Amino acid sequence: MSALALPVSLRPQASASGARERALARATAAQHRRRPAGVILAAAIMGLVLLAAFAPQLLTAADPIAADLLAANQPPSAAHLAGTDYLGRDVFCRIVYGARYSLVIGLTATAISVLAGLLLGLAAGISPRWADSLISRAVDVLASFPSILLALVVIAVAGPGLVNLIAALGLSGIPGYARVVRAQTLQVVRSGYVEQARALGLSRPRLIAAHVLPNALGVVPVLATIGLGGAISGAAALSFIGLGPQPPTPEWGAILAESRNYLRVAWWTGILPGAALTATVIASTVLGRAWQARYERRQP
Amino acid sequence: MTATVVDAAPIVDIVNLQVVFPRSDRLIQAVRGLDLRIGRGEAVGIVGESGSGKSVTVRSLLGLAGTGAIVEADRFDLFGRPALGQSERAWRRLRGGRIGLVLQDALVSLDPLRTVRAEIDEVLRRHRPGSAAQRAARVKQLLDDVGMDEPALRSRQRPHQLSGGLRQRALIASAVAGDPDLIVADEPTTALDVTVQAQVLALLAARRAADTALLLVSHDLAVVAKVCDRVIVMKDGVAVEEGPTDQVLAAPAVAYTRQLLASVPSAASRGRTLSLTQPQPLPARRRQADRTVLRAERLSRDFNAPGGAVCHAVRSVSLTVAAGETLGLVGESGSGKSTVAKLLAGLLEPGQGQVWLDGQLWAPLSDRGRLARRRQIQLIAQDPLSSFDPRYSAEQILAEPLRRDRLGRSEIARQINRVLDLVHLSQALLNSSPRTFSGGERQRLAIARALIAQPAVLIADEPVSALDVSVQAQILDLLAQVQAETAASLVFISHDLGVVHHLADRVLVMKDGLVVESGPADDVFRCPSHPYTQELLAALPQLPASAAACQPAL
Repeated sequence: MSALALPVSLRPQASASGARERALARATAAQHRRRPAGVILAAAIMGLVLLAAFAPQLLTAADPIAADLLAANQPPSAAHLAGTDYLGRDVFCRIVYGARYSLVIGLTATAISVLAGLLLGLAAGISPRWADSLISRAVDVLASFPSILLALVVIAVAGPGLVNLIAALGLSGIPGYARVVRAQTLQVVRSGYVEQARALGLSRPRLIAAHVLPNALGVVPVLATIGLGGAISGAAALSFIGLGPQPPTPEWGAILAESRNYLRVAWWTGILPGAALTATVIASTVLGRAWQARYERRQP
Repeated sequence: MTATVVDAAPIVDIVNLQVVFPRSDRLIQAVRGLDLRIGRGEAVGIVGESGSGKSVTVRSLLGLAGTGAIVEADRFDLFGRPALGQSERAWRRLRGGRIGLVLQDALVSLDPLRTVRAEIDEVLRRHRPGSAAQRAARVKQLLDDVGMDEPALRSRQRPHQLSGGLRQRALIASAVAGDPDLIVADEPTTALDVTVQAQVLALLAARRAADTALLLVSHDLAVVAKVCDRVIVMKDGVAVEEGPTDQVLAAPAVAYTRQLLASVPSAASRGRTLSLTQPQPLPARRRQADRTVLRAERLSRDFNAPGGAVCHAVRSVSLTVAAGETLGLVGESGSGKSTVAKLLAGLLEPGQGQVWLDGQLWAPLSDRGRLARRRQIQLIAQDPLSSFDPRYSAEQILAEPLRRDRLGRSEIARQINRVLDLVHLSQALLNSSPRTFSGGERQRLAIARALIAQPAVLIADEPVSALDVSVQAQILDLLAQVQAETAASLVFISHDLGVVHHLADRVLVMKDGLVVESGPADDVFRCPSHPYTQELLAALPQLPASAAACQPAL
C-alpha cells in the first residue's frame, strides 16, 4: 500500500513514459487532422462548380455555342485550355457553362425527392398503422423500379427536355428519402422525450412541430448532399442517351454524347468533361459523408 | 503442464498497477497504483462507483484493458509468471482456460447467432479438447451445474430465447467450461432481478466452494458482502480501503467507505438523509391522508405479444394516492409496474378500469380532454437523457412546460430559477445541453422540469436505478425534500426494495400484473404475508447487521 502514496510522475518508468508521450502525441495529431485534405479539396471543387454555375463569365470569355470550324478538334493549348471539339467550340468554356445545367438539374431533382420523401415519410411515421402501410407499400412499389428505368418511363411518356428530366430524376429519388424519414420519425415518436412532452400537455400539432419534425429531419440534409451526386450523374446519363437538354446545349451528359464519335482524334472532348462530372459527383459525396460523420458524432 | 512450479504462487500478484488511456488532449489515469493479490480459492471483491477504475482493473487481468490502454506495474504475475507484455497468444491461453470472465450483460456477451451449446463447446474445444461426444456430455454437465432447467432444451436455444437469468447462467457456464482457476465477474448480477441475482450469487458461491478463486466487481456492497472474503474499495483508480469483508463493512476505517455504507437506502435509513456525512432527519411532509389525489380502480391492460398471444401486463390493479403521500410500487421486471406508471400518467389507455385525478375522471379519456390537466401529473424517467429533446438546452427543456401559460420572459426566468434552487442545480448549466451533464445533474434537471409544471402527483419510474450509490442518495434526499416543500404526492416505482423501504409510506408489491400485497411500508417489509414478498425479501442480499445500522461519524 505504500506505493499508493508516491505520485505517479515520480516513479522511474522511462520506457513506459516514452510510450505515454508517443500515445499523447499521436492523439493530439489526430485531433488536428479533424478536417482531412480530401474534404478541403472537395469543398474547393464544389466552390468552383458553384462559381461556374453562377458566374461563368469570370472563368471564361468564350461563347459555349459559337462554332469555329477552322479551329476544330484542336488539342489543349494556351488559347483553348481544354482544346476544341469537332465544331471548333471551346471545350473548357462548354464545361464551365455546363456546370449550371448539371447543378440546376441535380439540385431541383434532389429538392423534389427530399420534399416529397419527407412528406410521405413523416405522414407514414405519425399516421395510424393502416395509413402507414398504405404509404409504405406505395413507396415500395416506386422503389421496386430501377431509378433509371423509372426515369426512362417518365421521359418516354412526357418527352425529352430539361423539365421532364428533372421530374423523372426527382420521382425516382423519392423512396430513399421517404424510408429514411419514416424510420427516423417512428424512432422519435416512440422516444422518451416525446412521451415526456405528451405528459406536459403539448397538443399533437405542437408535439409534431416542436419535437418530431426537427429530430426526424436531422439526417436529411446530409442524405441530400450525398444524393446530389447521384442526381447529377443520373442527369448526365439520361442526357447522354439523348433524353435531356438537346444539342447544342452545353450540358455535361450531352457534351459526352457529342464527343463519343471523336474520342480517337480528340480525346480531350470526352475525357475532360467526364473528369469535371466525376469530380463534381465525388466532391458532393465526400462533403456529404464528412457532414454525416459530424452529425453522427453529435448524436448521443 | 508446469503445475508443480506454479501451484505455490498466488493466482494474481500485482503490485502498483497503473492503467492510462490517452485521449485526444490528455491522459486519463484509470487505475493508479493498485495492489492486488488473489490466492488459490480466495474470493476478492472490488467495490466502487462508476469511474473508480474497477472494471479496467479486472479487464487488465485478461489483457483486455482496451485499445490504446497503457498498462504498467512493478509486478504483474498471473499464476506465478510475469504476464505484462506477453504475447496475444499467451493471453489467449489464459483467457477461458485459466481465467474465466463473466460480464454484466449476457445478451451482449453471447453471440446471438449461436446456440448455448455452440458457445460453450467453443471454449471446450480451445481449452479442454476431447471427442465430440465427450464435449457434448460436458456441455450438459456444465448446464446442469449452473442450475439450468432442461439442459438438453436450453443447449439448443439462442440467447434471445432465454430470460435474463438463464442467459447469465449460460454465460457463467461458458466462463467455467475451461475449468479456470479464477473467475472474474464484472457486475454479474446488476441487470438481474433480486430473486435471479440470489441464484447467480449462489452459483458463484458454489464454484467458490469447488476451490475456484473469484474476483467479483460490483457497485453493490451487499452483493460483495454475500460472496467475498476480502474486499477492496476503489475510488478514482485508487484502493482507499482493503481488508476482510466483515471488518471493512462493519467497521470501515476510511471516511469514503463510511459514506458509501451510509448512502445505501434501507429500512434503517427511513426518515433520515442519505447523502450527508451527518445524517439529518428528513423534512416533514405535509401528508393529508384523508385527501385522495389519485385513485385507480381495477385497471387492466393487455398487449399483443408476438405470435398472436396476449400479454396481460396489468390485471385489475386498484390504488389510491393521498395528498403528500409516497406510494412505493415494487416488482421484478415484467411485473407490469411501468405499465401502471403509464396508465396513471395518462400516456396509455387502460383496457378496463378508471383513473380519477382529484375527483375527476382522468382515464379513459380522449387526449384532448386531458390536455389542460396534463401538467398535474408529471413523470420522472429512469433515463433522463432520453426524456430530453436532444436539440434542447437545459433552459429550453425547463421552459417548455410553461409554454401554455404564455408568460413573459422575466416570469419564465423567475420560475426556472425557482425550480433550479429546489433541485440545487447551478444557473450556469442553463445554456448547456444535458448531454454534457453528469448522471446526477441530468436526473436533477428531469426533476426540475417535472416541478416547474407544479404537479399534484409525481410519478418516478426507477429514477435512481442507473445512478451510483452516492448520487442515488442525493437524488433520494432531493425527492424527499422536494415533496416536503411542494406537498406533491409521489408514486415511486422501483425494483430495489431497500430504496422503496427507505422512501415510501405505503407499498404495493406487483407480480405478473397483479398486486399481490399492499400496506404500510414497515408492515409489508417487516412481516410480509404473501409468499412472493417473502421470497423477494429473502433474496435481497443484506449488509452485515452492524453495517446496515452503521451511522457515520458516530
